[in-house]
Amino acid sequence: MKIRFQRKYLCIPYFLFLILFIILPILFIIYYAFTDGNGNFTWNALVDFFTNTNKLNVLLMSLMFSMLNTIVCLLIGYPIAYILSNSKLNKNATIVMLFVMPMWINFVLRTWATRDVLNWIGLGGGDYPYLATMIGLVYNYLPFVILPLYNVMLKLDKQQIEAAEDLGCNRVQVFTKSIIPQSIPGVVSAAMMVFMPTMSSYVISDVLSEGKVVLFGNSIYLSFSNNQWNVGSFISLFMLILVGISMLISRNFTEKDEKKESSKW
Amino acid sequence: MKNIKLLSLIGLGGMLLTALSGCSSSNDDNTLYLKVLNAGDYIYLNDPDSGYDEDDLTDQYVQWINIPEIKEKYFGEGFDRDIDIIYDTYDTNETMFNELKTGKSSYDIVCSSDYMIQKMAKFKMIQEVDMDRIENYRDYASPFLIGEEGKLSKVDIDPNNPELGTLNNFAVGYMWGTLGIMYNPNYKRIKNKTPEEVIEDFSAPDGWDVLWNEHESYQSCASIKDSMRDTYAMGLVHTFSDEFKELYEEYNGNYNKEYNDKLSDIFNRHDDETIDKVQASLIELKDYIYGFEVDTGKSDIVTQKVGINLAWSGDAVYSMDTAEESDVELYFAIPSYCSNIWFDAFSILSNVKDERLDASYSFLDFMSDPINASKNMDYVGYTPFIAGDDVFSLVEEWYEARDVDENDEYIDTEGTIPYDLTYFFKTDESDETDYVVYVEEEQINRQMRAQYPMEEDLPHLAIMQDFGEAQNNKIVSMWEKVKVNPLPVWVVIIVVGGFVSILAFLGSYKLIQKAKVRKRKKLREK
Repeated sequence: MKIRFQRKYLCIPYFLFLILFIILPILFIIYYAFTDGNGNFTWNALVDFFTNTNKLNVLLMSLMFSMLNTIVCLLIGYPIAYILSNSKLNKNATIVMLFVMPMWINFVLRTWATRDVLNWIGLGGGDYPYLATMIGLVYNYLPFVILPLYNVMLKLDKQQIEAAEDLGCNRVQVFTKSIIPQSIPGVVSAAMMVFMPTMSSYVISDVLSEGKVVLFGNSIYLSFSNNQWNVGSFISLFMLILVGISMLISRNFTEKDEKKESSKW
Repeated sequence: MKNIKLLSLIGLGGMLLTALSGCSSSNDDNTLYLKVLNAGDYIYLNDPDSGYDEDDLTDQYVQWINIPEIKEKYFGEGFDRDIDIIYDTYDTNETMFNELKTGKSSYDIVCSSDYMIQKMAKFKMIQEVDMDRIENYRDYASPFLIGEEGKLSKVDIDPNNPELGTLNNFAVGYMWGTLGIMYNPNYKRIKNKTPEEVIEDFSAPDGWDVLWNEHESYQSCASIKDSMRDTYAMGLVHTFSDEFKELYEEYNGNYNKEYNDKLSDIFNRHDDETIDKVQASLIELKDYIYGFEVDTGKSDIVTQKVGINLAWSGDAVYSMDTAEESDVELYFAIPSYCSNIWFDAFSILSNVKDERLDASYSFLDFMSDPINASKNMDYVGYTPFIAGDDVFSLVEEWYEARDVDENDEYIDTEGTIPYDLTYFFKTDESDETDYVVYVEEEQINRQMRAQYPMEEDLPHLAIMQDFGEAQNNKIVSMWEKVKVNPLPVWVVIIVVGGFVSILAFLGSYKLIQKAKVRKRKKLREK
């Protein structure tokens, strides 16, 4: 019998990848999160997580850093993206490229370099662990905010802005009534791109705070490196669930975006 | 072992690869593969910049063992298979233990730390070794470590079950050293202290307590290990400082075996009450130090990011050597109230038998050969178990400070003092050589002391044993508590409130928009 080549066979490599590296690991995590050392079902890891003040503290600490990081990145990135999208300076996107360029260098290397720089200007992590971590986080995630915002700003409906100006809005009103509502999808996707990775970031806080700030990622590492697989797996699962929730919420906005796009056509 | 996380991640990758490929390749040809698992960067590799320009030591082993006469010696007559080696590395003792315990990978020989060997022996994962089959080790390993009164012989595998034997029955020693304080007396952030006073502070018997008691002078100068066991040891010595002091004064100069036993007992406490006390000490210490480090401490102290570092002896030697190149003088202290002596050793896994066992013994014998031990010492920087002339001449080459006359005889040189290493290098009673090196005076507080502690340090050194599963988990959670910073209540409220309201806003955004559109429609209709 001759096997005819079909286009769908091209999916096989990815399908294998999907099973081996995405589905199976998640199943393992779920398995370990709800079993004990001998493989019996138990809620121990869950109970341990929600009754252990250390772990809840780490969760709150991560939430705090993620939220602060998101807010600071948006505050810095939003005006920059807006200016860049209009500026004549940036005709061929050179400036945008300059902002994004740090991303070309591996972030572990960048973080070690940041540590040296902070030490040099006297803001070393040993003396200011929170500030140093914050600076490192903002530095690392700012490009992730600028890019999506810049893309949205380029697509702003200029006619609507002009109309708002013609119909008597002052500058502030133009900004709040026209520009912000139009850029909300970009803001949300930028926020998602910062918020979730910060939750699980590990190297940045570890290196820049000299080990004095413990985030979720560090806590997971500590559990696994001390042979507490079940606890570690549960924390990972909990983080997965958090990611899932934020994905669901952000979907609200992307769908809307697509509809808008399709209605244009 | 005391080593580098990044490197070992690569090692771990390599381990997984070989675990996958190893099983297919080992049986289908006539070659016997000896599988060895060691910590990363812990064996001589070809390095033309050092004194030797030779193949990696593992390759040298393969060439050596395949010589017919040698092969016959270890395998008996009529064994004609080739021998090759699979050498893998791991990052921490705990990951190594997981790998072996879950049976994901199988090895013949594994090198790990003292407490981990104890744990593996408890789980019956490793077998007893027959010392007479490792002639080099039997003849050349220092009696200070493996003799009847040696450090290893004093540690029972399971104190509740003495029949299991001691560490000496299961471990073939590789490297050993101490845990001490490395410091830079001229460090710019030390306040109100002259360099002499700093040296005095740390060389005192209560050197560990200085970081607590004198924290105003040493605020934010020190980095300590981000590693649970080592930092626990440090916290414990401070917590029971008074008891150590009492003991120290009670025996007053006459530090005998009994003294060391009592000291080891205190040092190995890990009951709940002790853990709570140590936790309090470490939380206090956290405010006084610069930070926790995994493997950056040894370079940070050279670049002067920190001035004090909790250091393993081998790392300290490396840092002191490196610092000299940039004119920074570092010192090393092993406080006398109590300090930690540790060692890493090979052990043979329990399922190894027949020709694999022969091969394992041949490898251990090869590694214990003084020539190979000195190559490892030269490359790795830690101190091997093996005494022997080759090792001693390397020590002389490094530290001997006397001038020589035209006949190559040493002459008395001013500023040098004798440093007696007989306790380590004298391997049998009939040996009458004086193993004394004349070193520069400051070496007492520097590399020499880190490489080989002084004889008078020895009674104050104790091995830190395995905590046992239950207490180990408690110490992990203690460690977590030390590292986590409790948030004030108002921050908790703001964070939770902020997060929930953002979620609520985003979740309801669509609904609100729809409501607005509906409203507008209604208005239009009107």
